[in-house]
Amino acid sequence: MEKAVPRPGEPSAPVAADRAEEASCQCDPRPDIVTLVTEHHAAVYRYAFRLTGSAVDAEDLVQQAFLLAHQRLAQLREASRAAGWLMAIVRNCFLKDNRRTRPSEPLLDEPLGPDDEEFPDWVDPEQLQLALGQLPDEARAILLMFFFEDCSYKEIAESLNVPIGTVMSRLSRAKTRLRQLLTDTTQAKPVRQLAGRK
Amino acid sequence: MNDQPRIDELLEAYRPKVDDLADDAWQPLRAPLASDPEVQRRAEAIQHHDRVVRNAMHDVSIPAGLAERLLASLPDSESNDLLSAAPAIASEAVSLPPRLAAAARFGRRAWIAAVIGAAAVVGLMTAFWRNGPTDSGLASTEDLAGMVAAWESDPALVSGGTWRTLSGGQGLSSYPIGPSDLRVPATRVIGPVQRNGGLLLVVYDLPGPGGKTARLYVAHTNRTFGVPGTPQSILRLTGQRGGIAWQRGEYLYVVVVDSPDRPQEFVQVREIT
Repeated sequence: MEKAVPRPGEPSAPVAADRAEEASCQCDPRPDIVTLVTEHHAAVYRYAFRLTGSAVDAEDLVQQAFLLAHQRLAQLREASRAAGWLMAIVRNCFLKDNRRTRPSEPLLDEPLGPDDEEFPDWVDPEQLQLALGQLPDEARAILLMFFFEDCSYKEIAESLNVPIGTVMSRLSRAKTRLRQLLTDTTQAKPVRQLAGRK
Repeated sequence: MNDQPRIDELLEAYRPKVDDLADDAWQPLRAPLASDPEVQRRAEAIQHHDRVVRNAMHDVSIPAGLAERLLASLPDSESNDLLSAAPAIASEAVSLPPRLAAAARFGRRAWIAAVIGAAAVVGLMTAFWRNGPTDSGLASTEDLAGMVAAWESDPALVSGGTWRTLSGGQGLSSYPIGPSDLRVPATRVIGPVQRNGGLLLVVYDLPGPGGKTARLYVAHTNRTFGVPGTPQSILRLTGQRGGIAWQRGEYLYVVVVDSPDRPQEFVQVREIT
């Protein structure tokens, strides 16, 4: 089997010992900020765009998140958790900023009707964004944790610091509302007309 | 007692083969899900909705130059080093769109960095083009395309080197690369050879459908290139050739094929942006 490409020059003994220890304890070395940006900027931007619905706001949010990540890099214990960690920073920044600038909204506490309409096999990404944009910030955030990050209910509950039952009811209502919005818009108008923007 | 809201919540939470909730939490759903056709229909409809939404959720275009702008906005010496070491980044920072300048807390820093970077351009351009890329800093995709062109005409790799035959997909397991990245196993390898700036290069042949071949370059480098961490962006090369480049840590991967439309035959492309 091929060996890995060697580094230029042999590592010094202490460095080699460090690496051996790193390998033996199966630690997941913490990436530096340049690696984080290079590897995760696209996913983090997509996440931020789905939260904000605006390319400008998403880029500002991502920039803010990476600056925070840079300051708090010591909190990241494992590289494999970097994506989730960065998205949590994005989410917290988004919710914190919006709470400061906008009055809090109820989380979908209006009664919802049945959503038995046939759901399409494909959703235009812009249409999805329009539907997400009609939801309260916190509902959008919990939907992204479920759909984008693929978090389990337990992870969502831990992250939001609420009981699992609360996650179930919030997510159920948010998903139902999203489904209704998407069904309505899909059946009503072509998405390009609805969007009216790129 | 009306159990419908509880059943609805459980249906929304129900993900086959995913252990989301504790066993007892599923108890109210078990019997209806096994016997009630309406509950089964709703469960299938919700699964369908979830799949469709999940698929659409990641479909977002990435603005050009985002990674470079993010790196340029980082406040410490690390990012300033990157900025001053890479002419492409410096020039991009100078032309930052006004909306970023509006982010007041970063704007002044970005402009100062841009001015410093621009001032460094004149001196660095000379050194850069005279000596070739150094093994540090962030490089643009144009730099990368130039490097690939040099590798492709490199006699030690093209004609003068000794290729070794591989079998059974061996050869790539040493790198953070695998079946999720490549559609085909490598059949031949040459290298490692050292190139400009201490970069170490290993080259693999990848056989494709219909007798087509591609070449995979794996470079060990501490430079950061303006490419994503997964195969997704088409790299435009000279002639009619195209490629896909991605970087994970210190490993840069470039797959080069004869046609810009063909990289997907060799590489599992996540998304072309």
